[in-house]
Formats: sequence, structure tokens, C-alpha cells
Amino acid sequence: MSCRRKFIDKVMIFVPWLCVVVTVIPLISILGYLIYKGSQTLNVAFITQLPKPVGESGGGMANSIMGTGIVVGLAGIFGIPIGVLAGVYLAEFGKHTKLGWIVRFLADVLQGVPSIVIGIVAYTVVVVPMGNFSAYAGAVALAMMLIPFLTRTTEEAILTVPEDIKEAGLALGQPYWRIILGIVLRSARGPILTGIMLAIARIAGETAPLLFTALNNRFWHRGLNGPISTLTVQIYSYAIAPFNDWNAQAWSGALVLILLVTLLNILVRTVARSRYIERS
Amino acid sequence: MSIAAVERSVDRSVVKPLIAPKIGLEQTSVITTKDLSVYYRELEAIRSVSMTITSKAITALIGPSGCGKSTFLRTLNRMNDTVLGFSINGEVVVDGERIYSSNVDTIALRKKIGMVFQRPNPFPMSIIDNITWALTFHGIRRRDEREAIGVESLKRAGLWDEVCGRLKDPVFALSGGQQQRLCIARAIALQPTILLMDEPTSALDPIATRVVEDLMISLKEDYTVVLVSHNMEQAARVSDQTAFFLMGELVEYSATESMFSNPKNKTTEDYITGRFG
Repeated sequence: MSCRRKFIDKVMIFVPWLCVVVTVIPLISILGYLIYKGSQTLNVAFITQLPKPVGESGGGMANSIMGTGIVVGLAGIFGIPIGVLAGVYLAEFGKHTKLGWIVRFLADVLQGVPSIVIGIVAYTVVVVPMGNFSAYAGAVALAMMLIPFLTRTTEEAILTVPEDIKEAGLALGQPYWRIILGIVLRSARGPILTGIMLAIARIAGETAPLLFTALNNRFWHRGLNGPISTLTVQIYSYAIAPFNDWNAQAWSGALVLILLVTLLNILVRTVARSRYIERS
Repeated sequence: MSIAAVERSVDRSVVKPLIAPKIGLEQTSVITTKDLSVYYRELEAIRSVSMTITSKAITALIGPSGCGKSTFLRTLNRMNDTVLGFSINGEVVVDGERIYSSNVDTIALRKKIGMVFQRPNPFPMSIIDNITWALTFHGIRRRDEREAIGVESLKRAGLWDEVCGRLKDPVFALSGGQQQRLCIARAIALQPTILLMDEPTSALDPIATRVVEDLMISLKEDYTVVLVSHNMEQAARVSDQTAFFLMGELVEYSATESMFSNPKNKTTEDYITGRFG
């Protein structure tokens, strides 16, 4: 009997282990292939120069790298406060209310809307009234993707904050807004920042919502109220182009994008680590 | 003055440093309830309780689980306000002010009435910030002033010697008993006149319990302490007055000594001799 039990024990340990390997293999192979292909044309010029005219070799995607930073940054400025505060509302005030239910439901629905549709919406509400493609329009589209995700993540994070430390704040004669800012958000800041990171990483990799909002630009952008290049759209247009060197540069662009997102992730995690939060 | 400076200036021979000189705890607080009934929706949790809680003494509220003693305590600083379906009938008067009338500022009220909870509930911050955080809102703008009050409160709560070298450490480095005393220090830093304690030792081991009980006895010199306790020995040890609650009603309320030696009511006697509850 004990022999059989040991065998089952081994199998039960082996199965999840196998699952890990199956999950990690595609990830590693994608990364490996990306590094292999991307590093071939990745050089200083690639991250410092503008694209060269058709027919000339060399050049880079400096404008796209900067553009992605600008558009994603703007989306964060638009979206993060709204998303976090909506999450605060859902967790603290909208628990049993009808409005809370509606907001929660709509956030879930919005998360499932295809990104190309979000792009069309941003085109209709920003590009058409303003009369031109712009970084703003791209940022609005990306913010629309970021907000529902962040709302729900923040709500979940805040719900894990124990009730008794809020009571402690109340009993010290503190107003509720101060308890939310000083205690609740502080306690939940780890998961909230992780949510922000995931959301940023996700929107940084979006192409479809930018195709007809930020459009693209082969030069440096002229102000935020005009077309701007982004890495994803640039990768897309280079990847489908009939030139070999463009295709190769698309690989490098993808590698740069992944590196940037990873870098940001590590950075925020290091900064966000708080020694005052109890770790479980 | 920085914390280090405060530390240097501390005269270790002073046994009981006062945080009070500015405010002068000459003033005393009296709590009176008149026909107080508390409801959670239809459920009547407290039925027509009238009692006067004397100042500078420990008043223990005892009774079996669900008898309403915690509800009664939380009604005294309006902590039940956020509970769904909560309503009251009758009056609670603190220092001549009806605390349930509509113009009462609950923030000022709760500043005057400190509270310590059943389980230690420190904030996820450093030890010193746990105390100073609330002070910022109460108008103490200067950081060094807040920290000086924090140090005084830690001394008053008997925690100073254990934490003086690590005020910036995370609060979760402290043991449960230390955390509870930190919560007491946090409450008295606001210089309240009343301290409500809701079974403050129920999550602590016997040694930590002893320390907190000694602290309660020393606090009653300055504060009006209302203590909810499950532990009758504790009530007998530390309190001056004892109120026995049963099924939401105040059965007996008298001096602790006479209640435990010579209860007037048969039910009280049954409870304190351990025949039920």
C-alpha cells in the first residue's frame, strides 16, 4: 500500500511540474527566437535614428520608441486615476448599490470588447471631432482599454484590506477620505501597482486601437495633436512590407518593445516594494 | 527636535512621563445613557439601558457572548454608525452633550473617545508612523512635534523600552502583545479623556495580558476606561465598577467588589460563579 501511495505522490508532483514546463517552453522559445532575430539589426542607430527613406538601408525607430512612450504615458495619465478611483468606488461605496452593480458589469463587458472596436470608438469620438489623427486619440483609445481592467483589479485589491484597520482609523477621529488615501490605498498598493503594470504592459503591446487614432509617422511627431508613430504600428507596417531589411527591423522593434516593458516592470516592482506591508 | 534628540533628553528615572501637561487631564468625562436601545434592523441588541459611567475609573462590561456588551461599547463612540440597519432609541450623553443629535461632529467625538479593539490592528506603516499618522489630521503640522508626542505615548503605554531603537521598523516586527500596546499608545496620543477597550487581551497570551492589565490600571488615573471583558477574573482584577449584561439588558451594575462578593441578582450570581455562560 505504501508503495502505491508513494507512486501516487510522485505522479501528483510530476503532473504540475510538467504543466510548468509546458507553459514555459513557448514563452522561452518566443523570447529566444525574438532575441535571435531581433538582435541582428539592433544597434545604436536603431534606437537613435529616424527611419530611412524607402530604398536606403539602415536607420532606426527612435521616433516610434518615443511615440510609444508618449502615447502609453498619456494613456496612463488619463486612465490610471479614473481606473483606480472607480475601483475605490466599487470596493468602498458601491458594494451593494445598483450603480455599483452597473459599473462592475460594464467594466467586465468593456474588458471583453475587441481592441479594434475600441479604436473605432476613439476614432469617432476624438479623431473626427478634432479633425486629425493624434497622440491624444491614441491615448484615449488605450486608456479605454486600461480603465476597466484597472477598476476591477483595484476593487479586488481593496477588498483584501482588512476591515479592522479601517475601524482603527475611524476610531482615531479620521475622516473617511483620509482613511482611504492613507490606509486603504497604502495597504493595497502592491496589488494595485501590479495591476497598473500589467495594464501598461498590455496596452503598450496594442496595435489595433492605434491604427486609426495615432496613425503613424515616419518623422518625429509635431506636437501631441498630430499623428505619432508607435512601436507596434511601426512593427506592423514593417513586418508586412516587401523589403527584407524592413522585416528584420520589425524583429528588432519587437525586441525593444519587450525589453522596455520588462524594464518598466522591474523598475516599478523595485520602487513599489514596501517593507511596511506584512507579507504572507 | 528629532527622535534622536528626544531619546537623548529622556530621563530614564522618570517612571511615568505624562503626555498631558499641555491639555491637563484635570478634566474628566462622564458617560450617561438614558433608556438606550440599539437595533440592527428589527433585532433589538440593547434594551433600555440606563447607566452612568464614572470618570477616572475602570468600568467593566461583562456577560455572555451576544449579550450586547460590545454593541453598547461601540455605541459610545458611534462606531456602529456604519453598520447596516443600525438605529438607536434613547440618549447617550458624554460630558453633557447628546452624542446622537444631528449636529455632533463624530470626528471630534472620536478624538475625545479613544478605542482599543479585540485584535491588535496596527496600520501597515512603521512603528512611529502608526502613532503620528492620525495626529497630522488633528492639526499637528510639524513632524518633530508629532514624533515627540509619539515617543511620549509609547512611554505611557510601557512600550518605549522595547521599541526605542527601532521606531522606523515595520510594525509587524512586533509581537501581538506589543502591537496591542502600540494600539493603546496610538489611541492615547490623541489625548482622549475616555478609553473604550473591547476585549483588548482576548488575542494575547497570559504574560502580555498581564502587562496590558497593569497598563489599564495605570491609565485609569487619567482616563475614564470602559472595558468589555469575557474574562471575569480580569474584570474582578482590574475594574472598579462592573456591569452585567444579559440578552441586551443591564442586569446588575455596581461596584466590582460588591458584585463579585455579594451579587444582588440571582442571574448575576449564576453567571459569575460559572453556572452558565
